[in-house]
Amino acid sequence: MRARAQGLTADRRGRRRRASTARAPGQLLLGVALLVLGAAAGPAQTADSARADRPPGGSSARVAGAGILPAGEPGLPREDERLYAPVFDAALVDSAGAPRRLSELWRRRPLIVTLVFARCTLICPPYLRSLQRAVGAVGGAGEDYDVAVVSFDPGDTPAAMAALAARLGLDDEPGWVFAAAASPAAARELADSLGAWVRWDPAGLATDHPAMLAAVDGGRVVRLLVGATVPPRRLREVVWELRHEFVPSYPLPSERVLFRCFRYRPDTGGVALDWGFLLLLAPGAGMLLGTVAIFGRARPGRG
Amino acid sequence: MAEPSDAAGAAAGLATADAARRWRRATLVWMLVVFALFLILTLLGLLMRLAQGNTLGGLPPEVFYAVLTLHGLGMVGVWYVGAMAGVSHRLARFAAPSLAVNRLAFGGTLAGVVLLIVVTLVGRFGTGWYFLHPLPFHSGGVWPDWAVTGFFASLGVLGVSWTIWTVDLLRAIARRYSLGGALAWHVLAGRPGPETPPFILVTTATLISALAAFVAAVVVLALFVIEWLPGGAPSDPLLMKNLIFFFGHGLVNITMYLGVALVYDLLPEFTSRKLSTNRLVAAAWNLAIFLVLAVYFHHLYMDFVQPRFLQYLGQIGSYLISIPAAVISIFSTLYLVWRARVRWNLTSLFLFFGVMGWAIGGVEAVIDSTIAANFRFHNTLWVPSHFHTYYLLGVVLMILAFAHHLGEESSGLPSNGRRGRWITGLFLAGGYGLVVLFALAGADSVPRRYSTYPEELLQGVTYARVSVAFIALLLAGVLLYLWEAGRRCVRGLKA
Amino acid sequence: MAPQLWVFILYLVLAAVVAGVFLEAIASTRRPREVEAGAVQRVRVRFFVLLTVVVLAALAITLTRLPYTLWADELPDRVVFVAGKQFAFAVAETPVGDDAEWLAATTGAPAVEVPAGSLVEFRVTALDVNHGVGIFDPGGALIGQIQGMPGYVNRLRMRLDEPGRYDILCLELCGNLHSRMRGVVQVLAGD
Repeated sequence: MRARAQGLTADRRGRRRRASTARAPGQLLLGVALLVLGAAAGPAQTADSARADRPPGGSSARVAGAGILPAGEPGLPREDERLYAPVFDAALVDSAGAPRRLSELWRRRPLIVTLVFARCTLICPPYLRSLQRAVGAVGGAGEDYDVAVVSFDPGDTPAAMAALAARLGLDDEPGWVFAAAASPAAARELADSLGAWVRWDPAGLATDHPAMLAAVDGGRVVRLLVGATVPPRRLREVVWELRHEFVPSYPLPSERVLFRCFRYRPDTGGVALDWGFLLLLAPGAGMLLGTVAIFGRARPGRG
Repeated sequence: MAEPSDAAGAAAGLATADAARRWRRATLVWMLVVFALFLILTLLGLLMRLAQGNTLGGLPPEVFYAVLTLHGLGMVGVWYVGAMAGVSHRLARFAAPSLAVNRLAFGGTLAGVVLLIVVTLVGRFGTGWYFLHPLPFHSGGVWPDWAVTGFFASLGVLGVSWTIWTVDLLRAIARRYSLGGALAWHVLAGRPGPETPPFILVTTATLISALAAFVAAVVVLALFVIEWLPGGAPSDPLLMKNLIFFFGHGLVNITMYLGVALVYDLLPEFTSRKLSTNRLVAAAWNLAIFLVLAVYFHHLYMDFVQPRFLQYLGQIGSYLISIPAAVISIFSTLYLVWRARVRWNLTSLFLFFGVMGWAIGGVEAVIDSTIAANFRFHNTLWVPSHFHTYYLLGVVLMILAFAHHLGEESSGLPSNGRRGRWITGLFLAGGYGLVVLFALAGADSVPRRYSTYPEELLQGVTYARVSVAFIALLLAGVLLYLWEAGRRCVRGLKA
Repeated sequence: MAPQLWVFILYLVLAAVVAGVFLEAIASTRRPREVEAGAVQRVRVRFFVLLTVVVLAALAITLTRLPYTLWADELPDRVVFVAGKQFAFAVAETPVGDDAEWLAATTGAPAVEVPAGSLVEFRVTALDVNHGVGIFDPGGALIGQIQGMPGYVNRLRMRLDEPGRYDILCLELCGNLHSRMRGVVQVLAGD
């Protein structure tokens, strides 16, 4: 109880340091003794603040990554709200005019769905080009997953979707499906189930909607990517999820940490060794060096 | 390659009667300190079980966890130094360890223990013995800053003393044997060479592994202190966890093996059979040096963030290391005794049953190091069951055997057969009752390290209460032992 | 009976076997006899072979049942976020990433409810020190656990079949009120 009254209890929150004036002299001694070690450890410090890993599951409010808008801003779809939620099985008409259902597509292969307007001149064209580039970089379209570009504009015809595909050079590309919603109701239900929305002007043109894609597995949302561009490494994470490469854990972005064992590398998909791993090898190395040093110096036989 | 002849060996550490006397005194003092701490820490263990059984009206949780920390770290430390002191003493017949270093280690240990007692009982430092990062820095308003500093200081003092001691023992061995000689590589290769007593092989292999554990301790302590100092940087919790368990597991593992070294050295004196270092023995212990480094991962199974291959390595390593232990050491112990002419007294009974404890504790260990089982056993009372079997009924018996033997030799008082059997019976009955109850409680979903059991876990209270009966039996055995062995050690000091 | 109790029985049996061997060894010293070194070696080799076979078989059987990839091929019905902090577990259906969210989830928020038979994915972290998320079924048996480490999120999938209250208790010493940490998931009967 005394300690609490003096306010000298040892409580740490992250990096906040209490300016305690009553440090024990022992601590100073320890500090002096460890200066050498600190100097040796110096070059190995890693700065973590630049990491833009976005953990699946939505702590994205605390991450700023290129092309990904922080979720939680008013109106933007939140992944955690849609996680594992069922996707509406919309009736579609593909660019060849054939009627399809969205469920046909997701039963064939895991699906990346994006909602666009063929007549959109603002965000959709650059977005689709960015998506095209990312899919090209990541690979696997037509094998591990398909990409469904669906229009939720009731005014879009199959011909318009075909023309859009042609403009992007994707009309014959395996794994890419361009389709329009079969009815305004289907469009609206689909958008709702993905957390997307549209604002219309009186003339019936869309004035605003989020740029996003949804990864759909077995009819459920497993990832949402929201933002004006699609960085390849974000898409790679999405594709792993679709491939059922189950990531049992991932580190959260954090403040500067002295040493880590490894870094989670979203762009390569694995773990890269970090300086901390050397520290883990140090005991074994120390053991070998120490043994050699002790047995090397001594000459056996001399009493 | 020079050959250590027996005569030279005999001249090594105990060249004169005077030297022999000084060694004996130093070791007897060690044993008496071990006895005193053993009793105090056992009583603290009893206190905890009483508190968990709601028999005392409960302890405030801060007190409970301070006691837990002291009991845990204290026992780990006490048996490590007990084993080292015993091994040093036996080693002095073959080589020349430094008595000065022995005394330094003694002083350092006492200083470290005093610091530890102060930070726990006064400062209420309560992180448990493996001080998992970053808990020392998050006391929740319980322990003050100075307790954290004092704790690191205690670890520093103990670590430095023990590392120097370990290096000195290796140095002493290195002056008598080459590395290959000490590790019996010539036996492995089938070449002729000097005889490597099994005691030397086991001790050398174990102390080499100890170097790794102490390097890990230095690294982790440095990282802790760097984080603790003003302006310091935090460390990655996963890295710290790895380092802490590497060190902690290593320390208790080598304590066990040092106990086994004592068995290899001492038990043959009581039987009509002898052990020698053959190819199998050499292979097993050389392999152990490296296997010990790989098994610690079994403490991190429930950290799903650990790379998968390390989890596999943990289970595979933990399983495989049981094979040399069982086939070589445990089998050899049975061979020494099986239908042999054995002089059974407290010393030989304790050595023998200590190995049995190692075997039974090993069964629990292999079970818990199965990831699928660990999923439901980790951090339940199964874990204390396992390590109390390894310690209380394993290495503790081995070290107490040595201490009794030393007391008997130095005092000239022959051991009392009947009392020896009573003491053994009480230890086994009380000890196995305690650990079986722990295991049952763990299988019954009771977590470890709970200061009080909530209403969802009332079976924990029952187990705690019943276990007190067994602790009482054990305590009776402990007190009788301390009387028997303590008396002889004290008389031996005066001789 | 919970699987743990079967394992306990296995331990008792093996311990009894070991104890039996050791006690028999002591008893045998009443009838001393010379044993031939070759015979000893043969027994040792047989023991080695037997033990190796058992160990390898046990490895093969148990390494296929890892908690890391439970139900990895199915999609979970729900995601439950768990964040441990001295001294309570925030259990919520939205991520709990900082102290404010933790406080909101641990004071007065309604318990998370899932239908019986749901495949739940737990996403577990901690905000200060290591906590152990131990999941106890309505009968009070521990059915699984996972560590919550600060700075990391661990994922565990479990199917919660039995309706009732699933308690989350802390399984890693985290301070003086460690035994009082709580979280809860309610599993509702029917669908």
